[in-house]
Amino acid sequence: MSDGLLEAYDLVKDFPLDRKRCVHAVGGVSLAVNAGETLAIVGESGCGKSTLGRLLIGALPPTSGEVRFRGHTITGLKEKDFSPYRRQLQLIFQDPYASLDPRMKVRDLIAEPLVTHKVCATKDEVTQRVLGLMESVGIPLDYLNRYPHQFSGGQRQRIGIARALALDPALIVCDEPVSALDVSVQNQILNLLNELQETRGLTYVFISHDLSVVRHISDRVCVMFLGKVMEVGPTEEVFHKARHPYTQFLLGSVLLPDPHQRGRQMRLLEGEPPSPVDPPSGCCFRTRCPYATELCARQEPALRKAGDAAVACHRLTE
Amino acid sequence: MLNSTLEVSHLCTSFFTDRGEVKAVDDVSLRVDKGQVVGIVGESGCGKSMVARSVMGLVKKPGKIVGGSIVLNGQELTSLDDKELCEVRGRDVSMVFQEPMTSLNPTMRVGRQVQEVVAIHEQVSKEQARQRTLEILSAVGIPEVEARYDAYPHELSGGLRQRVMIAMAMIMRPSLLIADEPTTALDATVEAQIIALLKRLAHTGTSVLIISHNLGVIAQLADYVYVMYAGRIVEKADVCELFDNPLHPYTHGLLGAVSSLRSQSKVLQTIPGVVPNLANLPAGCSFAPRCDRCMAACDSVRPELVTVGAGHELCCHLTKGVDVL
Amino acid sequence: MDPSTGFDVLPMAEDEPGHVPASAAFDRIAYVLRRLARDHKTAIVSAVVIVLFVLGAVFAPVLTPYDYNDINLSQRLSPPSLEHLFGTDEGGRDILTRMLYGSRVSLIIGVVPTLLSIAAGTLIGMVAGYVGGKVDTVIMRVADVVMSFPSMLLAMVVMYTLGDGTINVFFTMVLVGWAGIARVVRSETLKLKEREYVEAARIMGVRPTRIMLRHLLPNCLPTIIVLFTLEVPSSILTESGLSFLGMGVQPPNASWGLMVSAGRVFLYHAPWLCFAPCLAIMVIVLAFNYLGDGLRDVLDPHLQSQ
Repeated sequence: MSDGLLEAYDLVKDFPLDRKRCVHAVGGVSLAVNAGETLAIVGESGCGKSTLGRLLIGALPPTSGEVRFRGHTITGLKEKDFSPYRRQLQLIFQDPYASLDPRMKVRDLIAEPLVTHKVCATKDEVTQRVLGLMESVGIPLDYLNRYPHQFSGGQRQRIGIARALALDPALIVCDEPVSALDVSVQNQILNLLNELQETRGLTYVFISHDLSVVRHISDRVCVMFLGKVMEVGPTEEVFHKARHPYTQFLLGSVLLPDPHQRGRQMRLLEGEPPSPVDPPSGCCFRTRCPYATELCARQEPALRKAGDAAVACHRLTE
Repeated sequence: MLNSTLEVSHLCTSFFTDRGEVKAVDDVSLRVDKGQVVGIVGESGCGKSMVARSVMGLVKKPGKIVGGSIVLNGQELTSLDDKELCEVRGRDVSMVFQEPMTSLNPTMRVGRQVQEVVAIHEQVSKEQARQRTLEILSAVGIPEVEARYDAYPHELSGGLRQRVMIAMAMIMRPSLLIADEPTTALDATVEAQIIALLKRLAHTGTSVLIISHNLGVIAQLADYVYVMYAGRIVEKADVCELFDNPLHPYTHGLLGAVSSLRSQSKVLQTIPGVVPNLANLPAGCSFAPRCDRCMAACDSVRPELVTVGAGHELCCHLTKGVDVL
Repeated sequence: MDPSTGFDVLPMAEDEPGHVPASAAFDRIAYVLRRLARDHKTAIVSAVVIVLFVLGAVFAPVLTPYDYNDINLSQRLSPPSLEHLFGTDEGGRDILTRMLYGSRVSLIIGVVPTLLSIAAGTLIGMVAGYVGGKVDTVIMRVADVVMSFPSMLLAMVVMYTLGDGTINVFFTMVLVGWAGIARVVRSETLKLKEREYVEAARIMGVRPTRIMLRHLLPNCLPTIIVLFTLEVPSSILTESGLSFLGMGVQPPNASWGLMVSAGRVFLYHAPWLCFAPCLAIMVIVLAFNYLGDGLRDVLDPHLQSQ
């Protein structure tokens, strides 16, 4: 894990509910993001993928564990010391309606990171940079002085991308960047992200619940369940040779856009999702797993190498 | 007994705003036969939800049904007053919404909420109503119904809440169930469960009108599909025919966008442009500005629905004289 | 232009029904007025009434031939007539004139302390809401203490300690008024703080002061405007009350509260002394309230739709 651009070691994040209880959003995640790749984090709502994304870029302080960027620890830094890393690590939000201040013009929205980090010497330079960014994400330059509500969802997402690119970051966490968009627009944004990655050598952490999007865009996939990594590996390997039962169920519940495949037996998950406040002992998936044994309740499985992937399941040793 | 459960013809629903009339639904005709699952597919803002709201009589001001007829089991709905509509809603036709989080009253136990529907439409004893509620709750696949009956909505997961909503919609055994994006807010594994449940309901003879932007949902569930764009039906066909042989450039683009995600190609297929604004539609075909096969006629003349095959109709100038695609 | 981005068919806001033209502040005001004219006619009437009162206060010397302190004992307590439209008081002074001059005091006292309390309350509330934690707890407990006293009683205590006079009235009213505003602004801030665009600014490393000024304040503004219109009448009432009790403006200066107070002795045989200032207080208070209601309806959904 030494060649990673960004490395996380045993990240834990608990959100206190009251004095006694807390939500275990992320429960000990270690992973590495390699330079230039797209690592997808998939899982269902409440599995902690968005929290993990924010922990990785230092937008949230972890309860324990640490994050290293190019070998430097960025966890627990003071605002002043963190500032240079902040420029390298950016985020694209899910909801293009909520993530842009409705009272700011496109110009000011994109310029805000430039002004904040005092990147440009003059106002003209700021405007030049903003225009350049608008061009690279495909917003016509004459819309410089428009407000966000004058744009459609896809166009707003482009503004959000331009803002994230403004500081020339090395890594961008994309938090469900296309799930609020229509199918036809979604593909435009995915193409744009791909193109930007090639021209700028970006590294993405792509958070999504949509497996077909993930399959298209990512090089590696990390499957999460209840704050823990279930399986992580190269995309094709995970999709073709899913080893963890949860990954198998997730893949099995994809609704194929093909009426001829209706007969295909869908694998339906039984039972209710466990609560992140009071997770089950041992393996957190065992309450819904058809293969669960007594060992699964007793001992938490560690991530173990299997082929090119790593899987956290006791069945693997058998 | 009539063969069609729902017959909508030439429905027009408009919104009257400061800036004039906005046609959310423009001359839409559709038909749901007994026991059939009919899908409406389209992107956000194409008016598909407004069709459902019109059928339910739930169009809110400044919107209004301005023309056409809606016939449910031989009864004309557009001429009914509010009170009569209330009787039809829930008994003959009911609806499941997208948001299972906000569609239930958070201060009421779920069992009571389901039971209330029975009390509104029929004179039954409390014990009978409770019995029927328990039956329907277990029929929609809710485990430990006795315990769930007394639960509050926030104590249930999203999937269970949507099941409660479906139970509420089905308790009067309506002949038509309208499901408006029933799985959009749910996780993939839960979505698959709900789709399986709706499939099962359709097998018991209930007609289902399913509205979705998700082609996967439509492909898995619907027998017959209407494609909507900018308030109008642009193509309708049997589900297999539509997916195998999409004729309208828009349908073609939508299916291409989805299938290219599954292919190995690096650059995804897209439909250029954005969904048009209903308040300011082009004079001719609404899809013309985004269409890669646009001709001179498309900009000025509005195409009409034309039959191109068995049960396959198309609203596109390409049908005229030219071999379609 | 790259066709795949689709900007050639961009639905621009001008085409959208019910959109808010935001290209200039002027457009926004025009939009608000248009909405008010359509859905809230009382608010428009109220705004006109308020403007008339302001004009009356500004042009008082032009509008009346008398001075507010022209004592004419031969005309004591004369009922309304063509010469004195609202009659005269116990010193033979023209009541209309005194009301016009009094409206200067009442309007200034209605508006200036309200502006000051809104400035103070907004600042305090925003800091409490954004910073949170102990700062929030301390500030809000202090606000609770202020609010737990009946405002009139508190104002009287402060006035008694400070002594009377216009500046002291200002001071007292700010001291009493900031707490309620701070509460509202704080809750608004707590709501806005969770918005993604504020999180986005934080992730970019924008400093808290800048977040408050650039993101929170502009988005709180509609609420603050409405608060203003609702606070002004209560300030006018507080001033009237204080003056009525003899703790506010001192004679021979005129203020509406003072006039009611002076006139109450003659309530039975010269009711016009109280009638006119009471009517004025009622009309201006109602006008501000109706305007506030209208603005709340127009500004709030517009914010949500964005």
